[in-house]
Amino acid sequence: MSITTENNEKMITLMSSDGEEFVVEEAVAAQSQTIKHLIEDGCSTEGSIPLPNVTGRVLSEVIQYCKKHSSSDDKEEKELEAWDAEFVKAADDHVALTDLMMAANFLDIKGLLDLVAQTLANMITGKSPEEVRRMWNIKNDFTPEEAEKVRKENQWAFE
Amino acid sequence: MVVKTRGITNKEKKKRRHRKRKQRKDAKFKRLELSDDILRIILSKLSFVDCTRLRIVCKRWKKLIEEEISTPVGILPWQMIFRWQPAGASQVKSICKLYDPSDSKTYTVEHGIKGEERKKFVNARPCFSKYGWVFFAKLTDDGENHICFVYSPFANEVIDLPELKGGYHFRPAFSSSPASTDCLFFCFCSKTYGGGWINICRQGDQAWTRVVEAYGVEAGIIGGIDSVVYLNGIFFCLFNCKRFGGFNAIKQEWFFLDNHCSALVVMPLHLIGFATMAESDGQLFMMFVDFGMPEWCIVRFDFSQNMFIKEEGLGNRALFSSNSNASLIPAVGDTSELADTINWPGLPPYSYKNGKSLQCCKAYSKVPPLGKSRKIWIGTPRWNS
Repeated sequence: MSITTENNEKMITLMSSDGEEFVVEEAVAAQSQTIKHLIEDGCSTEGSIPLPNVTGRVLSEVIQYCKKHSSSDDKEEKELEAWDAEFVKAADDHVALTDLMMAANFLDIKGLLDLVAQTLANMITGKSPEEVRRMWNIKNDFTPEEAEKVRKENQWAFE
Repeated sequence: MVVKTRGITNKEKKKRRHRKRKQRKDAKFKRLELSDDILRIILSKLSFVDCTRLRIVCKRWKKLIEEEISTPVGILPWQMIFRWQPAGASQVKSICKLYDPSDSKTYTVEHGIKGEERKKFVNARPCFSKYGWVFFAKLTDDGENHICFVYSPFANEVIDLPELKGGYHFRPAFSSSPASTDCLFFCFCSKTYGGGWINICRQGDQAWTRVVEAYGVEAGIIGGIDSVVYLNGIFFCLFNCKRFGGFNAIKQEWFFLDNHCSALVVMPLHLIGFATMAESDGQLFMMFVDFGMPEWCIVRFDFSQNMFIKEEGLGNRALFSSNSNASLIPAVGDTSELADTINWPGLPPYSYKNGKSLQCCKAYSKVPPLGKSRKIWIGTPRWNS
């Protein structure tokens, strides 16, 4: 279903995995290469575009990002950077950021993907392996001997 | 006595609670699972040190880091600070540290008394360095042969190479990370007026193989090689006498590259200083510094035309030079102050354009002095090499 606004902006509807609908300008949604291709392939004319991998909560954040980045031009680079910084800060923790990153990856939004990846990378910089495991519930599948061997290979980095 | 509430035992209640908690936990776990795609992007933004340390998180992380994450290009070289000194008959006082300019941190590889295994390090010269490895050599006591080995301070690993019959000039190089079996070691030896020869060997070989015999005065070669760069399967060699040639490692052929180009027009002929080569983005640069002249001379070898092109400067590159190697690093963003400068370990960057030293580069301002230790530039190793 495509609606046209007064400004002649084409609108499209995105549907999240939990059934929430978002009506956005096509230019905003097309920040996502995945959606852009779906539109080009004519998938948007038949009702809304379903996004089965993205929950409504995450999708609303993604749309916020896309709106900001489609309305700003290059001149406002500094301001945009500040906005990005606030945006990832608002995402709160690595759990929310991981969700956001998975959505950015699925929707293929390079700017957002890079932004969130950098934020997560900054978060784990300087962290111990144990702290990182806790962040993502990663199981340590090394035997103590194996772990010791890896550690020994670059002992200096662990001191 | 078993307490029953509405027909459910406390034990069962507990079990149920546990199951619920587990379900919640599982849901959280599932939600947090990082796909390889995503993990790769995050890991590629980490520093070399963090990647090194986080290999121990789990097997999957280790595999991704070692096999798929490459060190970003353009990061500033580290410094290796070292000293090996005899301490008694069979002991060596060993200092080896690594300085990371990205976070101004110094890491200790060794600092203490070591045994026999470090004896060959005493008085060994660093001759070539790349991929986080350093080629060390020193003459045997009788002065006949060179003892050769490569050392990685990052892995604190030594690979011994066969001894090589000594020549007056000695200039080694290698083609890839010495840890990989396909690494080819190269060494040019020459006597001052007696011609030179090229030797090659691989890890595990019993001896070096002499592949190119004595070309010398008849080829216009006097003295040794100033600099070797391995690029596109060729060890490019710049001689003291300003001749320029290459050794094709695949065909095992030697060729000169300067007889059909205008090299001599752009190269200062009677240089009292040094000459070095470095590769940047697949391009080969030569830098000539004459201590008596206010400027340096920079030429780029144009592979499509097989000729030298004079360059006004290094543009937005910085040259990091020490006895064992020279590298050109893009100086952009945080390090743009280093553009078009030459950097020696322990000295402030020097700009030939302005004819003066700049303020000490911030990234290297915290290198520990460590007395009489030697300092060389060293690039971080590539995991996936």
